[in-house]
Amino acid sequence: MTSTAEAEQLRRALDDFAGTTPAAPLRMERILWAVRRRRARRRAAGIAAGCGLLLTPLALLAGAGGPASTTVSPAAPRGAAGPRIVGPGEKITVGRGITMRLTEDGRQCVRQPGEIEPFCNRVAGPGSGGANKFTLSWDQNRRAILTGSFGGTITPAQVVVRTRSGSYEGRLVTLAGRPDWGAWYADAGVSDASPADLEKSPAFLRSVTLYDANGEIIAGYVGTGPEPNAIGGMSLQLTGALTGTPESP
Amino acid sequence: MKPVLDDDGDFAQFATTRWNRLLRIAYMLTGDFHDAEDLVQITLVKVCDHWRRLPKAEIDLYVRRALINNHRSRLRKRRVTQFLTSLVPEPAHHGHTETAEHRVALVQALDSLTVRQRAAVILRYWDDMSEQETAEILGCSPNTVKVHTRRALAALRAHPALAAYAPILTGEMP
Repeated sequence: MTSTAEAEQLRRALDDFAGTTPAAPLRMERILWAVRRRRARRRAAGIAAGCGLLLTPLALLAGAGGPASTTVSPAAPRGAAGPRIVGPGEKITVGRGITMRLTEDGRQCVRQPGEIEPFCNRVAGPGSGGANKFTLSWDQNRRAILTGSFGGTITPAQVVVRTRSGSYEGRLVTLAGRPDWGAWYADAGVSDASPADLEKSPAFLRSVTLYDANGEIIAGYVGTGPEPNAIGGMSLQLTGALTGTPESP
Repeated sequence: MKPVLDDDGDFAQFATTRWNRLLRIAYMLTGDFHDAEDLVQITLVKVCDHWRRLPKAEIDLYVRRALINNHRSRLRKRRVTQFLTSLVPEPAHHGHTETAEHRVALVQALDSLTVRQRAAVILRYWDDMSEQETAEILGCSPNTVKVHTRRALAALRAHPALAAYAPILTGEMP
């Protein structure tokens, strides 16, 4: 049973802890900007859904009346198309709610669902040290999404991710005129592990392999590590580094 | 200045008056100031987005519920590698407890609790919420709140970090 004195002691201890909170201004303009963006996104999604509903019957009718010999070209292998070239700051949607941008000063910025500020990793330029890393996370559809970066001596032509559920090819992204560094992303399908089961990440992800233009392995990650980082007993999202001498995946 | 959203005046007043308290709750929940600031901002964005439909009489309960739910959701999706350093910055003034080590011990002990236990303790013992209000915020029954609180206090009493913090929660009242 909690005594009144004990409750008072705890209250004072918590009060003391709360009193150490650094002062921070309320940034109302940022909150209102984020709200406007959420509403605009919802409106756009509603319009897209409405257009889809209107156009689907038309497409079905057109398909039923079209020539029988119409062929559907198979999806081209994504890696064959080469890296996707983007402009500095251009938004790349890599999963539902996860976006990535490359900046002119050599950073790869990834914004996770629900976050206002993206997390930026310096890949090229002064102070870089973040090249050849990757992050595994889950998007809002519970799909496993990998985002990574490359630079230095490693310039891949293809990225392949192997998970417990299969192999997936990633997509390389570079800035126009800057093939020496860049990023990649891969959708590794729906994971049976919930985001709460991040401890299972190493078991879920079998390997990440980067190949050069000749099909030779130039970097990779294999196996059961790295261990998820822990803080306060909570598991964090899996991050890993790609080495130049991976074992055969 | 851009045109404001509908009802923004009300919301701005609400956010301004609640900001400091919410920031402190978030800081006690997360143990990290930057996380706390982020958490309160995200929560206020969501609250503002639904502002017109929210029952204003229960807005304080709603915003705390949103804060705790967002905190739990963020824990599930954490990405950034962090390192445990000194958990609490040096205070500008001395409070009721004697030293910064005591606060570090308290933070370590709070870290050993589950999110719901930690939230229950903060809401009940710092935010002065009743059992009924805490239950509404956590989305459970008052009896469950009692259980969370009892287990949290037991864990705090038993935590080795609090051994040096004897007067608090060890039953050795001064």
